[in-house]
Amino acid sequence: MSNKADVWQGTLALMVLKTLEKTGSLHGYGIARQIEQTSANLLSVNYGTLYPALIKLEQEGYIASEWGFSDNNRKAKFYQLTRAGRKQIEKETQEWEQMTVILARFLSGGTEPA
Amino acid sequence: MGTDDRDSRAVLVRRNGARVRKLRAWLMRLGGVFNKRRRDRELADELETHLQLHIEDGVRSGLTPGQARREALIKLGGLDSTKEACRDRGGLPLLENLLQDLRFGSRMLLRYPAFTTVAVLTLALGIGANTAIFSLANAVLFRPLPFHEPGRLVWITNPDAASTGIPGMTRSVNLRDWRELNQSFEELGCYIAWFGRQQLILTNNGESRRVEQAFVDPGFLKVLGVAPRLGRGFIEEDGQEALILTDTFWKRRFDADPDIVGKSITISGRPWAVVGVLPPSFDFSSIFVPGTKSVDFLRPSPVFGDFSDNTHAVIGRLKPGVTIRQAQLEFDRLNQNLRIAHPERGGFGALLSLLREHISGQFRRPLLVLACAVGCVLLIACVNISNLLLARAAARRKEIAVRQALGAGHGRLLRQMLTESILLAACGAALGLPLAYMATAAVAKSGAFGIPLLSSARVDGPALSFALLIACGAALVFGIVPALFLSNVNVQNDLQEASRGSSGGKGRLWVRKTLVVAEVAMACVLLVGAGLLIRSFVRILDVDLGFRPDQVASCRIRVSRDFATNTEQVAYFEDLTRRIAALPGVDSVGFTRTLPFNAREIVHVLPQGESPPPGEVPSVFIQDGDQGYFKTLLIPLLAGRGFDSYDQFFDHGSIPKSPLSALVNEKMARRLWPAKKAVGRMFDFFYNDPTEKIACQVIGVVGNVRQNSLELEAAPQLYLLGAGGQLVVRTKEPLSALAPDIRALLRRVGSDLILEDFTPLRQMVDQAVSPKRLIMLLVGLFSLLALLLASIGIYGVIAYSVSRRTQEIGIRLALGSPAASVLRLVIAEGMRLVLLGCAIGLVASLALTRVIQALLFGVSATDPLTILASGFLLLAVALLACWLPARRAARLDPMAALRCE
Repeated sequence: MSNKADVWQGTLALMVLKTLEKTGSLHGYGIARQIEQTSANLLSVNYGTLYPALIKLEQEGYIASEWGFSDNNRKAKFYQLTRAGRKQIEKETQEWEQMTVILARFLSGGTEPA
Repeated sequence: MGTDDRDSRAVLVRRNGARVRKLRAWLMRLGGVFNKRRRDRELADELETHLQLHIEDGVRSGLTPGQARREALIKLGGLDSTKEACRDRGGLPLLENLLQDLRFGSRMLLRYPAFTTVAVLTLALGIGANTAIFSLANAVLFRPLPFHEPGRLVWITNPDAASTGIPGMTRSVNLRDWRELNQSFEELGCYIAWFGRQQLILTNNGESRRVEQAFVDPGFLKVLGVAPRLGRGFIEEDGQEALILTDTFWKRRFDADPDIVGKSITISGRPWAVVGVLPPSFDFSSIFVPGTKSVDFLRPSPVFGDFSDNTHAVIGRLKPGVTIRQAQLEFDRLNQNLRIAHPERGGFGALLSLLREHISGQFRRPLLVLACAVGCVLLIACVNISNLLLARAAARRKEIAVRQALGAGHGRLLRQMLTESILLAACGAALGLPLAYMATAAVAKSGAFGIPLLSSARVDGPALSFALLIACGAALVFGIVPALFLSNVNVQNDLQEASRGSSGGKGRLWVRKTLVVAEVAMACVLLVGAGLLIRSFVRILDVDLGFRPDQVASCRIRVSRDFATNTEQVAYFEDLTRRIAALPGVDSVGFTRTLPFNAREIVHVLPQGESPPPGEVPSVFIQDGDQGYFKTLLIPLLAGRGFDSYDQFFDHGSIPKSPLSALVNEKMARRLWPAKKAVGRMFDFFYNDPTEKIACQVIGVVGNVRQNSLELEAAPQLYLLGAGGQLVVRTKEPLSALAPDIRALLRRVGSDLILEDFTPLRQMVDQAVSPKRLIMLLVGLFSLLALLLASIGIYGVIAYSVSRRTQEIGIRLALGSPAASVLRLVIAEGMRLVLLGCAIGLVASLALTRVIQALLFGVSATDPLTILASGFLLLAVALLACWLPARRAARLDPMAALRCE
């Protein structure tokens, strides 16, 4: 249970970072919507889990936040990537790619033995 | 594979980076604990915006505002649980709980000020006393000696009891041979603690003052690895007039003159050359001759010839890697050869022990006993507080039940209870440390206790750690039982029970009674121990000193001018004696140069007309006194006659032409002329040079006087007729009334008299027993404290039980039970516990007091009188503690008691 949550937290973090990389500065609600859109609505994010993830990322220094105003003039907290965040994206992307390759090998190897 | 290598390195780097990130996150969270409020507000704002944005989107897509809001909340997964998750992530929940517990705990403590005061004060006393005792023990037993690699320092004592001279001391010839022949030691050195016969007077800045010296050989400072802070140590070429000053002496008398080395100072009219100053860490007297006058400077030991100078205290430094056992074996072999080669030296040997062991080994057990006693007091204090907490727990059951009903977990409640305990203990420690600091400083500064290294005791780092440790330990000990009880509250039962106010504390009362039995048992053991020490101490004081110290006081008198002749000096003091004796209230007057317990001078004696066994030239203590001395101290004359005015006075400066009249003590008479009459015999004595013999004739035998300690039998002693020195006065009334008269008289008699303060002889005796007195007083104090705490505990439990049984007692009284029987009922309940505790305590003390047998003098560790008396005292005090609540129960108004529920 908690393991799954960790995995989810890990992937969620990468999604957040990647989203911010694409959009620049964005508030929490925007990030959530963006993630849903990017996943072509295949992924339904429980918005509540997003905020602890944002806090964690900010504590680790990958993102920074400041208060600003949204399009319709609401006071909102905007998040944006830091330099460490960009590096982290690079790193995690690499890891994910590696992981996908490995998993793909397993999955294909499972169906037709060499 | 190459790629794999690179990858694993990459992973390693990444891990390190991740660790830094994690640390950063922790620090941020730690920071988050302290701006919790702002964080909460911002979070609320952020989520509110989130919801509003979501709702607006929903409305745009055609939902009603209500529907949109519902949808947004569902999607968020609940507003409060999101906030909760964010809060946990933003701060450190554990720390926040702790802070909350601390806040709550202090509020609880403030709400019960009486309980808190009692608990904190007893804890302060307990923790303070424990820390103080630890500081003392640490200084005396554990802290390394202030020497270089003290673990290699060895004390070499002469175990040959039959050998002459001062027990344990070694002759210079043997020391010389050991130094040449041994393989085990890097260096051997010695000091002579039997300080010279001269009274040295330092004159500087127009002030005259008596100073004390110790003789050491050139090897002494080298062995210890002590480097003088100024100048150098002694070398073989130094004459007798070279000095190394102690740090205190240098600071006090020479204002820490940095150019003192090479200067000459005037002592007793002669110039002496200062060659060095000792470092402050090396206090000679506190380490080697504790409890005596402090040594002001070191001098090179006199160069002895080949004779019986059995006065050297030898210290050696083992070569690295050599064990003390190997060294002992070597010395045994060596001494065997030496005894064969030099039969004239008589019996001698060497017993090696670690220097630390020699210096403070004998204090290990007393200090251990003290530590146990004081630990026991703290334990009893803890039991008491535990009891109080349990009593308070009854009042708090409802509160706890409510908390539990609201979702506080078992662990969380336990933690909160223990936090309260730790808070109490911390307050106790905070108050106890200044206490410990003051007590330690007072004992260290008193200097009168004769325990080595005690003067260096202070509350230092280790002592603070110790205090912290015992405070936490105490918190656990007294907190765990109440905490377990409270955290196990049954929600439903207790909410109902508390509201009905019925009695549900059966189980708790059982625990409280057990605690009382335990503390009574502990108090009992302590009382027996203290009783034994007190009885032993009384026995020591009962020892026949050989003189009567009461009503006698002494005062050192010096005459600032020189007498032309010996006769003039004698006449002067005879006149003085007569005048003082004529004062009303004065019984008798005498003079001596050495008071009991201060014997330091040694001479070597040879009976005339018979040859002593080879090498056995007995050493005896020597002192002078006049006719009045023996009368004043009431030292009995056993044979022959005392000094008379026609006897020849002993003049320290010259060798008399005709034999001197001498009094000897019983020991010396038996030693020199066993089975023969001593009176009338002739003998010679000499100080350091056997060619300067002085002939004497025994005119009488006097009783033995203990020279240095109450527990040690008297040694052989020789008295010669002298004039001046210490005035001793026996008075009819307490001296304080007479002292001004005597002073006034002395002022009238001679303007050239220099007087010091009067010291009652009793005080000197007290000083001789001061280590034992200190231990006895402290253990006595601790046991009384234990008794007090235990009786408070008994009182608390019985009073609680009475208040619980008010209704029952009311019914009994209403049904006609006489007040006396109620009284008996309650007292019986209490005394059952006390008797049980007492029985356990007595059995335990039979086993435990064996430990202190070695500290006892003239009392067995199972002394039935002491054990009975202690048990009786305990029972009497406990009876009082039970009687107070019992009386209240018996005086209850039955109607009021029945109505009160």
